[in-house]
Amino acid sequence: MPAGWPANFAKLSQVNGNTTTAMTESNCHLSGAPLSRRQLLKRALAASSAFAIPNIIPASALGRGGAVAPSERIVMGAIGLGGRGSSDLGWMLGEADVQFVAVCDVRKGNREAAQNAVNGKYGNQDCTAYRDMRELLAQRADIDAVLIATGDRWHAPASVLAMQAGKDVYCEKPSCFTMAEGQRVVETARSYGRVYQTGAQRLSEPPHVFAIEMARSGRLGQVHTAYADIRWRDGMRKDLLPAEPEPPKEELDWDLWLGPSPWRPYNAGYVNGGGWYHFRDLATDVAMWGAHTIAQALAGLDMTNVSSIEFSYEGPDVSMVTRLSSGVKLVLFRAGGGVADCPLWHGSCGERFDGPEGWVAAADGYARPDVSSPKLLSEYNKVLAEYSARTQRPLNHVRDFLDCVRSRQPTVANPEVMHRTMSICLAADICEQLQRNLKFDLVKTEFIGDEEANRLRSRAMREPWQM
Amino acid sequence: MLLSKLKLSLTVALLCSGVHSACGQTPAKEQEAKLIAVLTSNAEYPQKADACRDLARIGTAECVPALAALLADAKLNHMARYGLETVPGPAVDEALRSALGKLKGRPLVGVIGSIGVRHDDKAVAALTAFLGDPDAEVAQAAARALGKIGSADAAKSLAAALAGALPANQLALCEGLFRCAEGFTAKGQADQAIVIYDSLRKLKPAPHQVLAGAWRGAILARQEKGLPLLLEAFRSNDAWLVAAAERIAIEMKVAAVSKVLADELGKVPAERQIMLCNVLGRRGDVVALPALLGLAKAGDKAARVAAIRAAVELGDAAVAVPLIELFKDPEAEVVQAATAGVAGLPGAGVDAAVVKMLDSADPALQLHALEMLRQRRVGTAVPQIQLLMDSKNEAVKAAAVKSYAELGGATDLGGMLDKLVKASDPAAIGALEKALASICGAAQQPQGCVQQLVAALAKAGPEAKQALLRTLRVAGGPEALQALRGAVADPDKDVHTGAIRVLSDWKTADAAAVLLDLAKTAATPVDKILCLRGYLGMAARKDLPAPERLAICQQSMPLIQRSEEKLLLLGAIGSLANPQSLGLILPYLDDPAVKLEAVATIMALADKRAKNQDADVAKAALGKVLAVAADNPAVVKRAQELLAALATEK
Repeated sequence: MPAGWPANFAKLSQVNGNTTTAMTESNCHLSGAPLSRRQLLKRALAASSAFAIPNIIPASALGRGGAVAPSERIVMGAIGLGGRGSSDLGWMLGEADVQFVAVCDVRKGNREAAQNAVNGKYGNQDCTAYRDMRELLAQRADIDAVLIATGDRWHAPASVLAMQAGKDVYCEKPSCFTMAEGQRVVETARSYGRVYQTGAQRLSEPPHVFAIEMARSGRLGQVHTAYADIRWRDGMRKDLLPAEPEPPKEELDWDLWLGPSPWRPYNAGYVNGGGWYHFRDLATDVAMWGAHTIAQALAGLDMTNVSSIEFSYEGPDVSMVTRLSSGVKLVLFRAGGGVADCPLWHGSCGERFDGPEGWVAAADGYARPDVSSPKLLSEYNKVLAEYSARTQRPLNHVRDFLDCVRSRQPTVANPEVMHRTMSICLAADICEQLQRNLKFDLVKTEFIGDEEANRLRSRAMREPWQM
Repeated sequence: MLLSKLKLSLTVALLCSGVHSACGQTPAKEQEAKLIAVLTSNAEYPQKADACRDLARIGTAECVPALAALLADAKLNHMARYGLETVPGPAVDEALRSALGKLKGRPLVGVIGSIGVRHDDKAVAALTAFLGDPDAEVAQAAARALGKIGSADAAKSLAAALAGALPANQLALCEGLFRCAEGFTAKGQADQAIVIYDSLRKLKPAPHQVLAGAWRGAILARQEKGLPLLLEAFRSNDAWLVAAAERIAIEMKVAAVSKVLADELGKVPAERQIMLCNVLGRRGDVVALPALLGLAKAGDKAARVAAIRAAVELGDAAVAVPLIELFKDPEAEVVQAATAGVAGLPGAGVDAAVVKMLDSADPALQLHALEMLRQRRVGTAVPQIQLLMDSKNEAVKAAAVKSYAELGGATDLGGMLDKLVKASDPAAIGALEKALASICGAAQQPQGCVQQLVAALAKAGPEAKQALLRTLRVAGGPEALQALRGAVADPDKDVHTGAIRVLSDWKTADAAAVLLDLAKTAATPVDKILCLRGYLGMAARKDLPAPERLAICQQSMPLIQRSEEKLLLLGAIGSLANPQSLGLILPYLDDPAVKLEAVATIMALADKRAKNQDADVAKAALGKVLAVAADNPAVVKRAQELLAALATEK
C-alpha cells in the first residue's frame, strides 16, 4: 500500500448501506454470488446463437420456434424518440429477443407515442415513460441496454452516462460533438466493459460491405482514392431565433433539451421538424453524413500505419480533398444540387473506392454496387461470404449489436472506429471554420502546429453536465 | 434617454464588428482586445456569448479577468467557462480556483468541471473539501474533477471519501478513481493503479460495471502477471465477471493470452468453451488453431460449431482441409458451419483443397465441392467440373452442370451443347437448358452464344431442339429471331409448336412483324391465336413508342375473333390513352361479350381526360355509354357529369 493511502481502502466493505438511486442492492452485484437464472439463461442463449450461420441471424435462431422467453430477452430502454428514434425503436421491437420496458424523451408527445408503441407491441401496459434520462438510468437496474437517438448534442454525454450506469449502448450517429467527447466514449466503454454501437448501419448493409471488402481485400489493387459523401447543407447558422414562451416542463423540458449546449432562449423552430440541424451550437456539419460515409470509406482502407491526415481548404461548403499519411487521397465529396446530381453514385450516403484494377461505389437504395466492370460483381456472394467468415458478423446492424451484447464482442461500429471517423469529420469542420489547410495527428488526436485548431477540439459543457 | 440607447447600440455594434472572423484577418491581439471590450460593455447576451466563443479559440491571459468576471453571471457563467477552458496558462487556473469560494449550486458545479478538464493539480485540496458537500451535484463534480486531475493526492482524497461516502456519490467517486488509475498506468505507475483496481474489486456492494472495470484494470495493469486473474475471472460463476473476462481477453495485448485460453478449452464445460472460442476467434492468434480444431472434431455440438467459427475467423488457409473432413459429420449444424467456413475462407490454397474434393468417390463430398466452387468462383476448376457432367450420379451431374453454367462462361458452350444434343433424358435436358440459359443470359456478347446454339439446332433431336429454341429466346437478337422463324416450319409438330410459343413470348419488339405475319398465315387456329396474343402483348409494352403500339392495336383488330383477345386489345388501348383511343373502343360497346369492359375503359380514359382526347369523340363515346350502360346508375351519373364538364369546355 503506497504511503498516505487510507488504511481501510483495500477493504472498502463498510460503505453506507442506505438504499439510494445511485448504488442500491438492486443494481449492485455481490461479487461471488452464483449466476442468477436470468443471467444463466442469457449466457445459454448466447451459446445457442452459435448455431446460426454467420449471416443475418433470424430471431427464430435465438429462441425456440421463434419465441423467446421473457427471461432470455435483452431488456432495453429507449432515450430520445423523435423521428429517427421511433424508427430505430420499431426496428428493435421487431427482434424477438428484445424487450423494451422504458422510454424517455423530454417531449411529452414523443415519449407517450413511444410508450404506446411499446405497449401496443407487447399487448400490456408495462412500459414506463421518463422525462429525464438520469432517472431511467438510475432506477432501472433491470435494463441491460439502451437505444439513444436524441439530438446530436446529447449523443456522447448520454452514452457516457448510460455506460457508467452499466448499460450497453446503441447510439445514433454522430457519436460525439467534439473530439474530447469521442475520446470519453472510448474510455468509458473500455473502463466499464460496455458494448457500444453507433447507428452507422451502412457498415452492415450488403452493398456497402461488398464495396468495403473489395477495397480492403485488394481486389481493386492498391486503392489510391476513396470518396465519402458529406453532402448535407450550405453553411451553419450561428444566430439565435427570437425568444418564445417556454412550454411547461412536462410538455417539453427546454433545459434538458439543450443539455450540454450553450443556453439559448426557447423557440419552437429548434424543436420541430429538426430545425436544430442548422445551428452550429446544436449540430455538426461534415459529420451529419460523414459519420456514416467516412466510416464506410475508412473501413475499406488499410489504416494500419496511418498516422496523420492533411486537409486542404477549398472554400466554404465544397468538396474537401484530404490525404492520409499512407498516400491515399480521401475526398470528402459535396456535390451541388440534389442527390440525383451526384456523378460518383446514385443515392445518399455513398462511398467509392478507386484502385488500379477498377472502382466500386455504393449508396442508399442499391441492390448491387456500381462497378467499373461487371466482372467485379461476379464475386458478390463470395465477397460477402468471406466477410462473414472473417468477422462472424451478421449483415444487419441492430442484430450485430444485440449479438455482441450477448457475446461481449466489439461491434462493427465500436467506439474506436467511430472516434477515428468522428475525429476526421470534426477536423474537417474545423478546417472549414478556420478556412485554412490543416494537418491532423490521428494517433494523438491533435492538429500539428496549429494551437487555434487544437482549441476547437473540445467545448465547455453547460453545467451540470460533465464527461 | 433615447439618445443614450442609440449611443449604446452603436457602441456595441462597433465593438462587435469584425470580431467573429475565424480566418485570422484581424491580428489576434487586436481581435482579442475587441472581444474583451464586448464582454465589458453593455452588449446583449448573444454578442457576449459569441465573444466567449471566439476567445475560446484565440484568447490569452489578457482576456481572463473579463471572462472570470462573468463566472458568477446567472446567464453567462457557462459561456465564461466556454471561453476560459481552452485558454493556456496559469491565469485561468487561478481564476477558476478563486471562483470556487464564491459560487454555489450549478455555477460552482460548472467551475469544478472546468478545473477537472484543465487538470489543475493545485486545486486538489479545494476540490477535496467539496467531496463531502451536501449538494450531491457539487460532490459528484468534485469527484470526477479529481479523477481527471489524477494525481496521487487526488487519488488519496477519492479513496478516503469512498470509504464513507453517501451511496448517491459512490459511482462518481469510482469514476474518479478509475480515471486516476488509468492516469497512473499511462505514466508507468502500474503499482499505484493496481492498488486502486484491487480495492475496487473488493467493493461490496458494487455495481457490476464497477466490478468489471476494476477487474479489467487489475488484469491489464499487471500485464502478463495478470493472466491468473484473467483465468480466475473466466472460471467464476459470476456472469458479469465472465462477461468482463471475455472483453478483457479480447483487449489484452499479451501474446500468452491465446495460449492460456486455448489450453483452458479442454478443461471447461461446453458453455465456457463457447465463450473461449468467441474470444480466441476475435483475438485472431493462430496459436489457438490446434485446440480449436480439436474441439471442432469432437464434443458438445454447440461448442464444436463455435470452434469451427472461431477457426475460420483466424483466416488461416490451413483450416480448410480439417474443415472439409467435417463435411461428412453426422451433425447437420457442424456440416453447415464447416461448409460456410470453407466457402468464406480466402486463398488459392483453399481453392485447391476444394478442387481436390472432386476426386472423391463419395457423391456427397463431390456435391459439397461443386457448390463451394460455384460460391468461390473458382474458374480454374471448369475442366474438372466438366468431367462430372458425365457422372452416373444424377445429383452430381446436375450440380456439375449448374456450377459449369456459372463458371464456364459463354466462350465455351461446346461441351454442354454436345451433351444436350446427345441427351434424351428430360431431366438432363432440363438441367442443361437451365445452365445454358444462365450462361447466355449473363453473356456480355450474346451473339456468340446464338451462333453456337443455331449450329447445334441442326444436330439436335426434337426435345433438345425445343430446349435450344427456348435458350435462343434468352440470348435474343435478330439471328435468334430468324432461327425461331425458321423453326416454325420444322416438320416435327412439337418443335413447330415450341417455336410458336417461344415467338409469342419474345422479349423484344422486333418480333412484332413476325408475329403479325404468323397471326395471319399460320396453319392452325391455335397457332394464329398464340401469335395474335404475342402480337397484342407488344401493344402493351411501355418501352415502345405510342404510335407503334397504336398501329399494333389497329392492325390486330381485323384478326380478332374471340372475346379473350378482345379483352387483351381493350387493355392495351386503355394503357395507350392517346387521342385515338376512345374511337377504337366504340365498336366494342356493341359487343355483348365485352361491353362492360369497353364501358369501363371509356370511363377510365374520359375520367383522366387522357392525353388531349378529342372532345367530340369523347362526347360521342360517353353518349353511347349512357345508352348501353343504362342499367348502371353509377356509370350513368358519372358519364353525365363528364358530359356536363365537356359542355362547359371551350
